[in-house]
Amino acid sequence: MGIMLSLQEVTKIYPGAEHIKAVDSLSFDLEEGGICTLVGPSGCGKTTAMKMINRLIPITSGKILIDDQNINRMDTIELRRNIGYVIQNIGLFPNMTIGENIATIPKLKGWDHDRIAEKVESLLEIVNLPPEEFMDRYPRELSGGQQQRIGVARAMAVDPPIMLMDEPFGAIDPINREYLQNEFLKIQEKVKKTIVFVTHDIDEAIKMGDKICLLKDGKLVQFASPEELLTEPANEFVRDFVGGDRTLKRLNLLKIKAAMRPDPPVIMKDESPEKAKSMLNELKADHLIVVDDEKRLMGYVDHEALVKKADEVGDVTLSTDAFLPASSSLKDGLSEIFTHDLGYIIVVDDEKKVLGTLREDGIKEILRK
Amino acid sequence: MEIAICPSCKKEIQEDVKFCPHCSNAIVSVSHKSIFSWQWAEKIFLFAVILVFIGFFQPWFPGSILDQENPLSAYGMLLNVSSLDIDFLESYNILRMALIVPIFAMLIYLLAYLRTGMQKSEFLPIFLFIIVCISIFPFLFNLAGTFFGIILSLILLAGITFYFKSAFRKGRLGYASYFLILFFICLSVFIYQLDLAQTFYLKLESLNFSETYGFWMTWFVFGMLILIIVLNFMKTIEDFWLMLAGVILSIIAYNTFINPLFISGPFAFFADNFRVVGIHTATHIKIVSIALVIAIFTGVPIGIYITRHQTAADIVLYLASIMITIPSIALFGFMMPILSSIDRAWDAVSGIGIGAVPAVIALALYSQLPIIRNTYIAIRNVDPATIEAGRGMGMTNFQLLKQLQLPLSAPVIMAGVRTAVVMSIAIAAIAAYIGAGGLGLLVSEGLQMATNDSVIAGAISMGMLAILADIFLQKVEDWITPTGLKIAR
Repeated sequence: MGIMLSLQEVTKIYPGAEHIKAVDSLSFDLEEGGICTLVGPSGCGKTTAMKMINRLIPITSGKILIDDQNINRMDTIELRRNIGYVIQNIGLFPNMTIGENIATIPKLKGWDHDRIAEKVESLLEIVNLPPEEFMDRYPRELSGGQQQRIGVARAMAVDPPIMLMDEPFGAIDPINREYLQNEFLKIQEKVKKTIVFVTHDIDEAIKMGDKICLLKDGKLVQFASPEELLTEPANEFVRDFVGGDRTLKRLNLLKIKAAMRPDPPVIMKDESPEKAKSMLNELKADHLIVVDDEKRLMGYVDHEALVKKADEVGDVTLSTDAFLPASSSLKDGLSEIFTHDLGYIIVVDDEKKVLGTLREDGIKEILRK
Repeated sequence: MEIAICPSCKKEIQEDVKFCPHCSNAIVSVSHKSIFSWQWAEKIFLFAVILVFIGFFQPWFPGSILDQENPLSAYGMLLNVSSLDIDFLESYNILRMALIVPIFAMLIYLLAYLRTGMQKSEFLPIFLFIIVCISIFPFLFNLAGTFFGIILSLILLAGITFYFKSAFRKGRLGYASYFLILFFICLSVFIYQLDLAQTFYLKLESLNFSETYGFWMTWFVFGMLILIIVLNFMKTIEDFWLMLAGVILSIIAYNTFINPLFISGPFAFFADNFRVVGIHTATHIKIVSIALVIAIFTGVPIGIYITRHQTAADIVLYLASIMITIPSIALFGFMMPILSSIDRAWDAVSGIGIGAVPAVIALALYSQLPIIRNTYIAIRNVDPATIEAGRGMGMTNFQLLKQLQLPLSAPVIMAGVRTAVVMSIAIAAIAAYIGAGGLGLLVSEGLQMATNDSVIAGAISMGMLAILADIFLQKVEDWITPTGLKIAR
């Protein structure tokens, strides 16, 4: 996994506005298969920086290397045909069908008919729009979310190593935006492209990016992973930009598996209530988790429940829904803890087998690391 | 006529069903097949009728038009049909009346057809029915005797009413404009018959109702027919205007027969000078077409060029708008000496000082503004996001133009061409004054020789030509608009 994209002291000064540097000595390296989100307030130069990568905006000074080749020495048209480009207003060609839209770059490159047809079909399937239905429709007939999916498919048509995305989900409504973000991350799992993703939304940047590049007034303020940005903001500006709730934002990034206390004391459902009582007293706990013989969660018992006469613990078990799968985010975990007055939640796997418990102090501990 | 069929089993289905009722396959998109319909026969018939009517005025048509001896002559045919050996028939008028009326009826039919895009109709059978009635009824009634004649006409009327009413209810009949034609023809023919009746009356000594009632009965039947049609079809205000137009045209056509009024004169003029008018129309179309082709091939590239160079844009648009303010006569005036001197200096060309060449050049110059300006605006108004996407994907300027900018600008450019065409047809009238020919000659010669009919006939023809050209170009515009742009959200 080498470095696919490298910006070195890239600067942009517009003629006629020589006193302002739209982009000021921007440098960073992006590894192959990673998503780099360019974030910053309006006018910080993020879109300008991205457009310099495919030479829509000429570089004033500095170098940009793609796969160790200087882009200024490459043929502009060939360069652009090998970079996927997705824009905010989607920009589908209204006079062409969806199929023709996606086939644009392959046709420019002179692929033969069958290969193009095959590729178009597979791309439509990747973005979850059935080919038979959508191939011959026109952009106007589609909703914004669908159009942008086509925009992404179109950009991936020739399997470009790099993709540039300029606020691609900005013009979509919030519900579809989340859906598209998740879909896109799933696609990225499969195709592992090197992506430069411009956004003004810090939450989107944190969610989508492997590395975040925060810009202000054309200058690079911090280039770091989301976790680093949230735990070690470089300065006041970053702290402010990320938002006062930056620690809470980290909850989105971590899974409850990381903060759980594993192997909690449990009791099998066919044990006697007396044993349960003695365990409760020993552990000085208020509740005891009851599981079946496969260690699957059944419920819990407390002192009150054990007052009743019963042969097995299982008969007096109280059911609970204070549990979550281990792959859930800490944010969901914390929210679930607050929902129940159990004081903690039970962490289970896909088969509802008990893995551990999640408590508030467990979460605090991991956040402080 | 096209019917929707299932793509798998090829049986007829409704347009919008999802599953074929015959073979139970799911239907993604329906196929169509053409079946013979009255519409086909209608088109053939229409074409044949127009040909025949034009043929009537050609000397090469079997028999000379006025030759009463020749059994094939149109004149003779008419005589036999009406079986009236009356000397007023020697005047040309009856012929004009009988033939011009249907010609204009056909023209209106054509316009209505193009305008409303008629799909299905039963115009043809009704039309044939009417023609037959025109010929036969008077004799039928006269032969049948008074009493039976009345009964016969009442039965006939009942039958016609029933036919129309049931057809209306089932929605099989076409648009009101069809029946405007019907109305127009009927009214004209009644008036014709009315006049024939009068003349008949004049010629016969003793006349009572029983002698001429055939005419009156026919008139009555057709009158009722008209009333039914009108009452059934007047649903919108446009129908009213159409009907009014039909009435007026009928009256004009009638007057062609009786005495040329100021309005009907031009129609008589058309009848008398059909061939000449045809030649002038052909020249007019030729001049305008050549000028347009030149204008498109210069204007559109210039328009494309100036979208990329703003300063050039300002200059070119400015020049083009100045060009259009130069009065046409003045421009033609400039052309003549310039071209004449080129003529003298350059042996390869001759006779370019007057005639078609300056006309074509001047028209091409006038057409530049609408075409250049529309091209410029259309290309600049293409959504910048689309262009940015195209450029970012690696399209060259030429590819951007060919695949995006031109298809997306085509409708607006076509609109500019339409403007230019209509404008040119009007301005080409002036071309007559410098010897280029065309319909302007009708106007100029008419003015010179104080025959107002000619002037008005010329104006009418240019108007009709402009309307027809616009309709035709509208169809072309529809044809070149990319499908993707026609779909509404």
